[in-house]
This record gives sequence, structure tokens and C-alpha cells, in this order.
Amino acid sequence: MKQNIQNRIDSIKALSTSMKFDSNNITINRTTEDSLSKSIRNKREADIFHNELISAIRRAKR
Amino acid sequence: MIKINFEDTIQPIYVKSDFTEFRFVSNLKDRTSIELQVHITKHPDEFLPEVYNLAFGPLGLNGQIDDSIRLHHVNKNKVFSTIILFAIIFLQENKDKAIGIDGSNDTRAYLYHRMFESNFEELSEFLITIGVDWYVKLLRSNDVERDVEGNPLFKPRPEPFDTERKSSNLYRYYIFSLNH
Repeated sequence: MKQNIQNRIDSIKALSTSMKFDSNNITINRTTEDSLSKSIRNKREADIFHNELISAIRRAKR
Repeated sequence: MIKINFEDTIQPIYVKSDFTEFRFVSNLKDRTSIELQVHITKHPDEFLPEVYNLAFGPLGLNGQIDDSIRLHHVNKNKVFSTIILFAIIFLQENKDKAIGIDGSNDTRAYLYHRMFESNFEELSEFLITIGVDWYVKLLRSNDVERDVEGNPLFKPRPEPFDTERKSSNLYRYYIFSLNH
């Protein structure tokens, strides 16, 4: 089943190369803070969170 | 309950070349259709360069996605399967990144939690799901850890998504990354 889905993914990716000229191609930037950014106040806290996130991802893969 | 099936998704009408933007059309129960956009954007916090946000919904009059609107899709399973598939595409092209979802309100957060919980096996083939809660450290003095301004110091703690956790006990934030 996974290969069928990957084929579907690949076909969608291929669409991007056929849509080079899009007059509505507007870049939209989100500037709203979310709950995560409100609690990360400096680089040190961000590094701690990043390391804990990597650790959580590793544990999830087991 | 939303059932994810990546073999039944809606073909996009637009895919941005860097896979940060997708558009597709959903049929609604009132026999109209609506264009939905999926935007995957850098997290606004400069300290979190590896985290991206995902927003989806119709484009509002202000040019921003209206992610609080309530729509009655003919096939909501197909809509959410499509959105998650687009997220997978982005992550496959950006393997070192993660996508964070806050949920604009408890209703949306409940929706996400139930979706991840109910489709954990299907999603796990492609994604690692992480839940994040905020905790305050209790000190031996029986006070809590505080910041320089004297306020309780809340720290985000990520953990592997706990499928045993009831949806009445929502995580505060959800993150998913590629399972590779």
C-alpha cells in the first residue's frame, strides 16, 4: 500500500514543475505567534526544546 | 471521526514549486464547492528554524487563510487525507523540518487529536507524531520555578504521541515529522 501512496505523492510533486507561471503566486507570511513561540524566549530555551524534540522523535521511532 | 486514507485524496489544482503551498477544491453539502489552500510557512519564531506551521482553509477577504471557518464537506475524510498528504510531501522534500499545529481553538485541537489517535497506524507509515504540553517545575521549597519577572516558568515538553491519552486530555501543541 505504501508504494501506491508514494506513487500518488510523486505524481503530485510532478505537478509543481508544470505550474511555473502562476499570476496568483503570492507569498503569504504568517506573523502570528503561537503558543510554542510564546514560551521560547531565547536561543538557549530553543536549543533545549530542539534537543527534547529530537529525543521524543527517536523514542517514537522505537 | 475522521478516517485518513491516502489512496483517496483530492487532486490539487496548484502546487507551489517549493511545496509550501497547495490548493484544491472541496465539494460542500450545500452543492457548492470551495477552493481550499494549504500553506506551510516558517514558524514566526527565529529561534525555531526547524519548525514550520501548517494552515488550511479558504482564503479570507484579508488575503489570509481563514482557519476558523466551519465548512460542511461532502467528504471530510478525503479533505483531511489530502491536507495530511500535502504535509507529507513538504516533509519529504524537507526531511530535517517538522510541522507544528497549535489549533486555533479547542474544537480544532480536539479534531486534530482524534484524527491522530484514530489513524495512528496509517499515519505512522509516513509520520512521527509528537504531542507537546507545558509544565512548571515544582521546587523543593514548594514554590514553582519562576522567570526573571517572577511569573511561573512554563516549559514546553515534547513526547511521543500517547495513543492511550483520552481526547478530553488534549495536548497543547502537536508536531509531526517524517518517519524515515
